[in-house]
Amino acid sequence: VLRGIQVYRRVPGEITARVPFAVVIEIRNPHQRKVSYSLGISDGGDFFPRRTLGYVASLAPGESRSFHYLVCTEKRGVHRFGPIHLITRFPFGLFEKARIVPAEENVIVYPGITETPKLPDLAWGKNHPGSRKWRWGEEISGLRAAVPEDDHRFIHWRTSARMGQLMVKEFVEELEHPRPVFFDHRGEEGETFEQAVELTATLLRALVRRGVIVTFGTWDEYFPRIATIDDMKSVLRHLALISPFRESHGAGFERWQKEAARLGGGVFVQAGLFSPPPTLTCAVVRV
Amino acid sequence: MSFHFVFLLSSYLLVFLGLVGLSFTEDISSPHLLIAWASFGLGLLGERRGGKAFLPGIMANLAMLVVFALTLFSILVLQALPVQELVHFLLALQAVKLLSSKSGRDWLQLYLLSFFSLIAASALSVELFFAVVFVCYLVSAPWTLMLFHLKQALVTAGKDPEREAHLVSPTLLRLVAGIDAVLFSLTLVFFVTFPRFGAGFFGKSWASGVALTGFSDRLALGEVAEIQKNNAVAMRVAVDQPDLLGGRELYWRGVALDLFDGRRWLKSSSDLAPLKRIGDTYVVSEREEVAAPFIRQKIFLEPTGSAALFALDRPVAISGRLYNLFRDPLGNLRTPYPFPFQISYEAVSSLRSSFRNEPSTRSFLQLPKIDPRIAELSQRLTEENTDALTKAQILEQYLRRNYRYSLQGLPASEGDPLAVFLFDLRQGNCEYFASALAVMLRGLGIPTRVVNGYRGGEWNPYGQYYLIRHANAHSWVEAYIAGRGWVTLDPTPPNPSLARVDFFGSVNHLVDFLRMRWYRYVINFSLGDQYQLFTTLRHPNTWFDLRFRGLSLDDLRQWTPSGSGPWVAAGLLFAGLALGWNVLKRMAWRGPRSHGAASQAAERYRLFLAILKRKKLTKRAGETPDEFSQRAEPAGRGPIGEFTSLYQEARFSGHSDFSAGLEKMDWILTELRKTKIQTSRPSAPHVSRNHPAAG
Repeated sequence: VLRGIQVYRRVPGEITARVPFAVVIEIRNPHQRKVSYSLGISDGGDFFPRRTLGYVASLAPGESRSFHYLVCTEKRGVHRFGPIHLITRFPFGLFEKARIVPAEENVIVYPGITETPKLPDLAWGKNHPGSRKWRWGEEISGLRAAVPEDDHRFIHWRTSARMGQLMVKEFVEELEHPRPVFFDHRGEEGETFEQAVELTATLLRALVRRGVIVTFGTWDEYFPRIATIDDMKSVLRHLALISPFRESHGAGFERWQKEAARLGGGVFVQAGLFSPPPTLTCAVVRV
Repeated sequence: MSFHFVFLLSSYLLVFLGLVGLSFTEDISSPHLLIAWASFGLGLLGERRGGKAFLPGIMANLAMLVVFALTLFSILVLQALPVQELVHFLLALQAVKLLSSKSGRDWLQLYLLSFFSLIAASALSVELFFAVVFVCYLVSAPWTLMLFHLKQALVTAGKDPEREAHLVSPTLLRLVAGIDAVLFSLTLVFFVTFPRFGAGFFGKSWASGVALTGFSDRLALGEVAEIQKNNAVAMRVAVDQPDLLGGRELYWRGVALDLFDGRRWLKSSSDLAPLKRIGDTYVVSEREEVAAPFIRQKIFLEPTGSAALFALDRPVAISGRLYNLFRDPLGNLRTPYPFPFQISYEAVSSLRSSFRNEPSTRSFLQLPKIDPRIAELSQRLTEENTDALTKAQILEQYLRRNYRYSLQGLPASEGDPLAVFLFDLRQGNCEYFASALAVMLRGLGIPTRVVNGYRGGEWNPYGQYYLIRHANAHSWVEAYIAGRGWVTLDPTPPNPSLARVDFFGSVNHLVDFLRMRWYRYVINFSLGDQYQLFTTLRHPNTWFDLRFRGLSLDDLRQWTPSGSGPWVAAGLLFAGLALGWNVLKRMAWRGPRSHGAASQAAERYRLFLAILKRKKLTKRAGETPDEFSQRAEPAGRGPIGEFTSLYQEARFSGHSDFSAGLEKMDWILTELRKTKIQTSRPSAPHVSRNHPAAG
């Protein structure tokens, strides 16, 4: 019943903390003649307890079945899916037999989304939303899959209907100056630090989705240009794995400082006790 | 057919088989069986009405308590047999379950109850019908349990079993057939290898035979006629040389009696002498007393309520699991106690010898007060002869020719029964013939005794044995003739009503053959049989001596024409080659084992990562293939990106045929092995695009 049955797990490319995501399990019977009966599939990981998530009464030769389950993780970082267990009590329901399919997998969970902080106009660029002169770009540069937080006004309904998923329009960037954002991650591990990480990620997402080109720096890393969602992925991955910085000097900070000085200011997200240099005009965001 | 319907059908079949098993045991009281069957019918009716319960939950619980209390009362207060009461309890529980509403666990309990019913039936019955019920149960139980498991699993998973009707398919049936075959094999192995320690716990319950007063130490005239009206099997006898018995009337000697009081035959002496025992064999007659030919009989004797043993006249030795064996002065063989279940023993008889011991008492000439016409008749018939044997034969023939055999209207209750038989009715059964001859010979001064046993028997061609029924019960006379010993005389004309073997007789023989095999190899399968089986298995050279219906492999070898060995070998070789070819063809038809494009691509991707790792380009934990590819080739999409795309396509696109993609992946791997990658700054390796599949 269990021998040779192939099981695959498909996890979304992007996972955000506290946002449920669907995991697809595909099960296939590669045999030419044998039918497998009464298959239970259990899955689990270090962020959710193992439980039976699917049941297939019969799997004909060469047949594939797939089902999905929703799971949610509270924290950012690297999370691990364990092996998939293929379970059956066939034929008489008396004894449970299990086959452990080695499908261990690590996934990176991006920091969760919090309430977007109120920032001074400076942080949003000269034509920030809310100002009189501000407007969205008129020229559509392309379409992309919608993500949480997207403004529903920009959903392209016709394409969404055709594609079977929500697609939003992306506009040509109209702002000429990137906003340099810095995350001071020299604080202590704990709730405050996590909130700061989430705040930074939320801020960056908000800026990018509103069409602001940003540069982003932490003490140990610097991202020179973040304009699209794809650019955001590497930043979010960095934030997903970030931990408090223990040193007093970092290349990332220097590069950000130069850029902020060149552009006349930036945004400074404060997780620790460090304050932005007094020579720079910064919008300071605190948890 | 809907899943639910098939499930109900098989579940009720299981319950039905348990009930049938118990119904045929005859040990269960009719009211209990009636209630059980009525509940079964009502249960079925309820299911037809959409699972209607005739007993509400609380009433069902109450009924169970009442049944339990009644069972305890019967056992503890009324001193009823615990086994029977437990079976009654079982039936009552089953009835309650059938009448109440049934959820998942209730079905399982019903299956358990039916299983216990089968166990109880096996303990209470030794009949062949149980084999039929057992086989049916063994076939249907796996099927039912499988359906039950599937139903439960589907319900637990939140699915509707009705939507899975396709589960009941020929494939599932084939699977069950396979499981049944395994179960049968395991049952057989377990049965053969499980150590036997003697009679079963419920062995006493086998005592279902007819108590036969005709084979006790006294016999009233007319009693044998009652036995003869019973057509049940009395014993089965397999003989080693059936040819020796061809054309011979068979007399299975049982109990001889010597005292006659005018209405009954009795034994004059109750003395018993234990027989000399050598190993398992009891010596009945010393070697010098008997002469060849000898015939060996394997006798399976049904319980008769008598301690008498039967064998062809004249028995020489008896062997078997008989703890003691005695012989009385009349040559009767008997065990210490009547045996309550079927026994088997072997007897060796001499076909040409008779008992030669001279009559030591006058009981063989004793006569009660009888009608004087009897003596006159015997004198008149034999007055011209002086030889005792001739006189005896004349009287024997006289009775045979001038009187009619009948089981009806016997003169037992009127006056002098023998006189009524000889002079008025002129008809009777064997007892009257034998008694009349014995009395007439005694009147002439010839010692006689009446012997009770069986005459003849039906030859069963399927099992190669004689089937002897109670209808074959018979009485005859032994007369002592000086110089010849005790001579057998049978004045009874043939019984016209004895079975003629027609079509149904042939079917009966087949059924009886199966029943005998059942008794012999299942019910009576003993430690000795186990020992013999395993000894034979350990000595392959003895396998050729095994006989099946009198035919051994050696016989077959003898029948093979000389010099045909090479031809037989060639034939076997050809058959083997044909079989092998067939198997190979089937394997080829199946084709190579396909592991699916996804898993093959995954294997290649692992290899791909290993190659890159050797080139100091390691995929980080948590990095997706795309991310790794972008990190490895920041300048743009190269072979790593291409390989990654192919891998993801194979894994997630669901293409059934991805052979071109796999081939391309192989080619990229080959190229990657040759390429140097700078380790200081990860960059894409250069891969020449000269492969036709590279696009």
